[in-house]
Amino acid sequence: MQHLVSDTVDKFNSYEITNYSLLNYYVAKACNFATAKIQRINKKFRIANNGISALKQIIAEINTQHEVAILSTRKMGRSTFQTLILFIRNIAKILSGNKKGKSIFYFRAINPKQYKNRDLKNDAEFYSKISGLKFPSPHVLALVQTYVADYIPFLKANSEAGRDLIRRFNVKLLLTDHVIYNFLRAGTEEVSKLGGVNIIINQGSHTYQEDKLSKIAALLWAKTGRVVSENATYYTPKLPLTEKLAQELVKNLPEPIKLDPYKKVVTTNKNSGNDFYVLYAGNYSGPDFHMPWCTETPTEFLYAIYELIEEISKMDNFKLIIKLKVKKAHIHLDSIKQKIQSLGAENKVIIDIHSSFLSVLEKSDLVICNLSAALEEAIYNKKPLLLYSYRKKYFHLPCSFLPASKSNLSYVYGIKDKSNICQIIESIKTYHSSILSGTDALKEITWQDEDFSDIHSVAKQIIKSCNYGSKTH
Amino acid sequence: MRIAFINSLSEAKAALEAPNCAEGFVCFCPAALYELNKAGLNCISNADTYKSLSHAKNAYLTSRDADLISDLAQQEYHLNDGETFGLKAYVINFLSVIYYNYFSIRQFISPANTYIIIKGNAPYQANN
Repeated sequence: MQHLVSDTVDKFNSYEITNYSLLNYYVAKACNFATAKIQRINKKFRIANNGISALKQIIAEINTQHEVAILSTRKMGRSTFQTLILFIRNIAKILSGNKKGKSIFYFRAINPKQYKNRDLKNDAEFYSKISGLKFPSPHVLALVQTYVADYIPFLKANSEAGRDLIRRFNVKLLLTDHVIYNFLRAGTEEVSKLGGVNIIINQGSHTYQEDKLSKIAALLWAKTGRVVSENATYYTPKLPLTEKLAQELVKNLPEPIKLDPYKKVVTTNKNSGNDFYVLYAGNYSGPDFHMPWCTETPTEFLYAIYELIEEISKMDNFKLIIKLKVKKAHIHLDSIKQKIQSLGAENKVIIDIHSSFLSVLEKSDLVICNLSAALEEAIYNKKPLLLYSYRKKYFHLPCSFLPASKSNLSYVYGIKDKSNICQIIESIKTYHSSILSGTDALKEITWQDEDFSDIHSVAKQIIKSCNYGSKTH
Repeated sequence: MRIAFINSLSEAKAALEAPNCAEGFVCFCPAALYELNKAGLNCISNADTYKSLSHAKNAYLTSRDADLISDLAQQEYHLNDGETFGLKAYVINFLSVIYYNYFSIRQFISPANTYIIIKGNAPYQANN
């Protein structure tokens, strides 16, 4: 079990390199200093951005009022040479004018000794006390003892790396879609301490759940720093149910900023004949990020696709598009192709790996999903949803389990029994235009146009909150 | 019985180099399962052992234990609130993974079995 777990748990910390030389560390610090000088960072409004496109509209608005420096952070090179190469590319980006407006990165440079700073006396105390807790197996206890004790120096050193970066560059605004990583979480603490502003938008898709077990699982997942943080000055829940979940996590939340988080497609009737296009756009968690009950394992994800192929291939005038993510496709592709061939369903099932999600969404009439941001993207584009997973226990949004009818028009349906798939999909096709015209059904699920925050006022408020009044700063 | 646990496609390829290393294969990766099945080996997916009840137990136990472990660690290692939050995020992640593996393989834990893992691209007998 040690072997099975260690492979996957180690991946969780792979966002950071800890085993580098002192020379590499000093070079990285020098590179950071030089980057700041070349970028003339002190004359700009400094924004640390952890890669979230939905918040770009806020940055763009601030940029109309002040010149901004968008900073990101990255792990150091594995060697001094690699650190230098990364530095040169960064500088080349600045000197060539950075026309695409990409962020300029700084290394998370922290003395490598700090990552090895074990406190054996505390470890012994912890080992002794943790033995008093009840675990289902002594193997589990042994793993918990090892992994927690190993993690403490990493936790402290990586947190210090985040704090150091914020202090060094005097960051005014930190935008992030999670605080899972310690440098980010500690960065938000430091920004708050320095009187700056933190904005967090939830990662992926998270919703408040009513069902007891689903609620435990949803809260568990959200508690890993994917929804909101105590240090958030503003937070931007993508759905009303995400806001409700955030209220369970943090007391005294600030007023949310409500943004239109997704690009829109122009829905045109491109379907030939009477074909009804059903898009499967589910997702799963790999073993290194397994989250029980809400997310599917790689094999469950595959089995769910098998079931859909079996059922939809029986139906006339329906086409199933299976959208696989490029990075993950290799895990399932051969198995899915074989399944399609074995059923002779080549004309009814299309596997799409390389098109953009928006382009397949555009030609789809119904989206099937278990849990993914694709589900939100679909519903914001007013595509009816069918919640479907192999276990059929967790439903990410409130949904109807009955077929669509004149008295049961919903934007979200769910399947609890495989034998209902055909009937429910048929009914959605029959009432498709009625479902699309009934936008009232969307009001509790997505933000509406009238809910969206005025970005201009938000930007002004942020600048004011940072005590950043004039262009002379 | 010798049971091999296969985590990934690369491990499946290593197992195919030495197919007699085990009488049964438990696959955590569907691509590995596909390759081993194609080679006619006796294999099952962990989805056949880790079912809805395992998901439920995992969620419940992780939720219960993550708080207990983090609180204890906060006292012993003198962590501030932010660090405790960071530790809890990590504990939730690794406990979910530990219980995922534990409930997947629990039914194979028996003195009559020996366990094979892939280490350095070759089968290796793990400690029971």
